[in-house]
Amino acid sequence: MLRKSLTAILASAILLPFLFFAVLSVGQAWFYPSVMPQRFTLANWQQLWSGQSELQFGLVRSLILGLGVAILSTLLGFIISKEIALAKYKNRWLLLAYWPFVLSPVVLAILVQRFFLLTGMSGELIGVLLGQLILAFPFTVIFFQSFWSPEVLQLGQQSQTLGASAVYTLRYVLLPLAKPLLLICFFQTFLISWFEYGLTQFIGLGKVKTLTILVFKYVNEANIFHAALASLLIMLPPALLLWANKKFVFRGI
Amino acid sequence: MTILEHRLSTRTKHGSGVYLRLLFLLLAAAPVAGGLLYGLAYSFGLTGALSSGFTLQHWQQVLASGVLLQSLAYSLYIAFAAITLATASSLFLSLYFQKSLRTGLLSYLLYLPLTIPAVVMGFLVFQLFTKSGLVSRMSYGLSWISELQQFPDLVHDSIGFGIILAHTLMAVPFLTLLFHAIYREQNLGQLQQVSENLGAGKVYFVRHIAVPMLLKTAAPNLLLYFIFILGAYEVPLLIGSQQHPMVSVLAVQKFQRFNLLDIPQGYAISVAFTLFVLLLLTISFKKLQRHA
Repeated sequence: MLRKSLTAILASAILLPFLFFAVLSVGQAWFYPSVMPQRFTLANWQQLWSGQSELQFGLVRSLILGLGVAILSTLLGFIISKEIALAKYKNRWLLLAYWPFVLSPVVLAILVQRFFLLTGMSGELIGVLLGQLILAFPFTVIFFQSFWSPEVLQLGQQSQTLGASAVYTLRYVLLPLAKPLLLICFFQTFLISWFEYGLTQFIGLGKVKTLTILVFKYVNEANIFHAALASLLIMLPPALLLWANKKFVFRGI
Repeated sequence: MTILEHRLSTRTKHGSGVYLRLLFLLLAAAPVAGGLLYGLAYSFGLTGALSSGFTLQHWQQVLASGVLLQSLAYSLYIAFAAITLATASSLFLSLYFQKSLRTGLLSYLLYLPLTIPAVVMGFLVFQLFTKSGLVSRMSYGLSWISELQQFPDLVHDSIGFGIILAHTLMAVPFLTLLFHAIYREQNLGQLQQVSENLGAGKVYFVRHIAVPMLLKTAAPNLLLYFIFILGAYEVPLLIGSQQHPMVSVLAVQKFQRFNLLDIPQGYAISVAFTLFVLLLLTISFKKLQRHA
């Protein structure tokens, strides 16, 4: 009985943020001490689908950045992680990969900011993409180390010994083997970008308004209803993906 | 050396491997190393808009004012409190809800909080625990308080309740899933049966076998999560105290002021924090390896 009650409390606590933001996103006025907003409206959601809305642009920008970072870092990480796995001093190379990964993103942004200012990429989408790549790429190199086992390396070698070209080996031997890990890595690097705030704000100079930047902006403007809607837009896509692919996405971690 | 190793090493030395490693250095190591060198040069007055040659003035200002050490101590306190609370809660959840985490409702639900980023968690804690937040409103409805001012300061407070709570809430689902995975991988269920056959009670198993094994295996992850909280930015920016900024917030504050003389101090703080984290990592991993 106690276990069931505790499970119910825990389940409610987990669902609370989603319900709370859902209610706020359709609210219009919320005066103390009312527990629920005074008025409900779909205006905020309608604004999202109408053209030229800030939230719509934020959503698209976040999607472009997320997909760009995920595609580039997964591809680069897959290829380069093999070289690191074969390196004589593999652990020393991997230690370098941990550097940007363990630093606070905003401290990293402070340290690399000069480079982005000099190249004119500060305040630009491409600059933020490159900045997020500095965070996501080392993660992928560490992530794929588990894939390049001696068995996999030998399999690739055997394929080439039997006459297959490097491209054929990659396409028909290595990629099918790595497919589940590639998808997990793609998903996780997408999330690194999707959730990123500090580095995006610092390198983007507040001009590259992704969803996380918009949440902060709305909070500062005391516009809690738009902030709740933006928060939901951040949480819902990965939550739905996780719900559908829980076993698949987390199988290899 | 086998034929395979010979071929692979040859390819690494003379093939495209060199370029790939260079690309790795360029993307992973160069930004941090270059940034650190530039930050050091800026903090020593060797570069920047107001540079006038080598000086220790900016470091002296940062260290003499005590602002960096205070901020670092406050960040360490927040990170330690949050990781301790989160670890204790996660150990309880992973051991008490074994079955539900394996096949029940929690096996699905516990993944949902992982989709909440720091900025959203900060906003959520703010909306729940500020003086006019949901908890205050419910307290009013239940007649626990008769006016808004009676509700305690739980965000923007000097003891960092809001920041600790937000980070604990973010860490608990992740650590619970981690402990649950370790529990299964280490076959702790079978060990429990063995210990029970040998006469040990459930409490003895949890205290002397399960908890030490879970903590020892998860130690590197706990350390990394501790460092993640140490450098937190979004949550303390949203719900932290103005008087006690965490290190990342302090560094950014120095950059966003109008006084150009503050920028070298911002770099000094960033470099000092980076070196502190790298030192902490190196020492901790060496200790962990020794005890592994």
